[in-house]
Amino acid sequence: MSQSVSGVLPNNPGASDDHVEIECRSVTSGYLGSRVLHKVSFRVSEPSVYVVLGPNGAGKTTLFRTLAGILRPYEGEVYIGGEPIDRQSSRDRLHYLTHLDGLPDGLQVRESLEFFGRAEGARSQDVDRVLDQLEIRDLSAKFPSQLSAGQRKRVSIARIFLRERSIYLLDEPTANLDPKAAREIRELILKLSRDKVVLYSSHNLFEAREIGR
Amino acid sequence: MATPNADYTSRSLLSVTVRRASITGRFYLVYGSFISSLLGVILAHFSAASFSASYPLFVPIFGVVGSMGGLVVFTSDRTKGVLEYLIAYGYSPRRLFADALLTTMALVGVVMGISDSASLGVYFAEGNPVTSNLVIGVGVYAVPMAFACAAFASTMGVYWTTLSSPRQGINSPVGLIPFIGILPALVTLLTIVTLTLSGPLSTDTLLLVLGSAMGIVAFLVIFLVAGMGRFLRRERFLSPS
Repeated sequence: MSQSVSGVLPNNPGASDDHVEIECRSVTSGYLGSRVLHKVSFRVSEPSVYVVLGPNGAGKTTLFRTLAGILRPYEGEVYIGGEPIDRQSSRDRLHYLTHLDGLPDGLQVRESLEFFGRAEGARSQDVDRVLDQLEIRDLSAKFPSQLSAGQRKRVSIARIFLRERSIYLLDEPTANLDPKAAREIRELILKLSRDKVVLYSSHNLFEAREIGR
Repeated sequence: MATPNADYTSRSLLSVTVRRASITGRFYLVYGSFISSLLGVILAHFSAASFSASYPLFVPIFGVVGSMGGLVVFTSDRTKGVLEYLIAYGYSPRRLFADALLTTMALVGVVMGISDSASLGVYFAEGNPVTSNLVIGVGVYAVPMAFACAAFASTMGVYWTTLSSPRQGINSPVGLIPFIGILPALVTLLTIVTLTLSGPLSTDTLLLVLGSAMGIVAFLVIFLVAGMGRFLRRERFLSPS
């Protein structure tokens, strides 16, 4: 991926630096020395849904992992809210979701949410709120192996609503879901992430159009 | 706008991870605790001399087997993307590695606690005395060696898991690591048995063999832990799927 995201994510040249939520400055990144992203630059300021569209292997996941601070860029810098991504305060401004459910083995749904809630400093009441908000309270006592793919995804998404953040990085969150479940998940994400900066990656043009409406 | 949480990284997941490892690795935990307790109790009941001589040598092996839940959880977390989410939350790979190691240590503690309580309980209930061999065997060798071997197995397992593609079953790291983990204890046991064939072992020789074994395992563990930052880059903690 070489600056190809610039066409999708506006550089917002008129935006003041005070309001820049995500800034990617000439970032080169990849895995174990191999370079997947080459000098990618963009800025995102206004709360909205931004779709990162590209075929499989284009580097969308690498971009999202770099923005989330999971991968360290070989060159360039990533700033979240004006601060480098390696600062905890930057990480605390964003939520990250992938196509992987990431539900820990050996924990029931409620315990899974408490596990991640603990990791990000949420409270027990937050878990209760999210269980109701996403209508998954009836799944509370189930283990991941007892859930359908759509239910697992719903629980996985519940995690990102435990605490309010200003930025949501959603990397193909509906991958591997059937069309009906995928639409439900997209609607849920859009409904719950109003007034936020949402970066949503997809390789599906139909999905990109729908989410970017 | 999110409110930054100052004490974020102090939020330990260790207790939850230990509980998960106990549940997910319950087969290993029950097997390790039960078999070592059973053998210990039988030996303590029927032959105090045999108990003093052999219990300390085999119990570390079951300590390693019983603690595999820590590695099971780590491997599963990597494959399912849990580690990736935790890194995004700000947990460092080093901390995730430390959690896996500490979880293993906690499980060894459970196995050793159950086994030692049952076996030594029967031994003393039978009216047997505290001997220097027993004190050296259990206190100086068995307990530290069980922890050292489990740390060795866990560290090797983390390396193997993160440096390879996920595999299932007996051919996976979780399937094979117990065999690697028990090697130091097994080699020590065989060395002592071999030395015993040529005559009774003096306490000095016994201490030398046990101390050397412990030293080698401790060195390997320290080497692997210290090399983590160099060999296990953060990309290795991400799910390959």
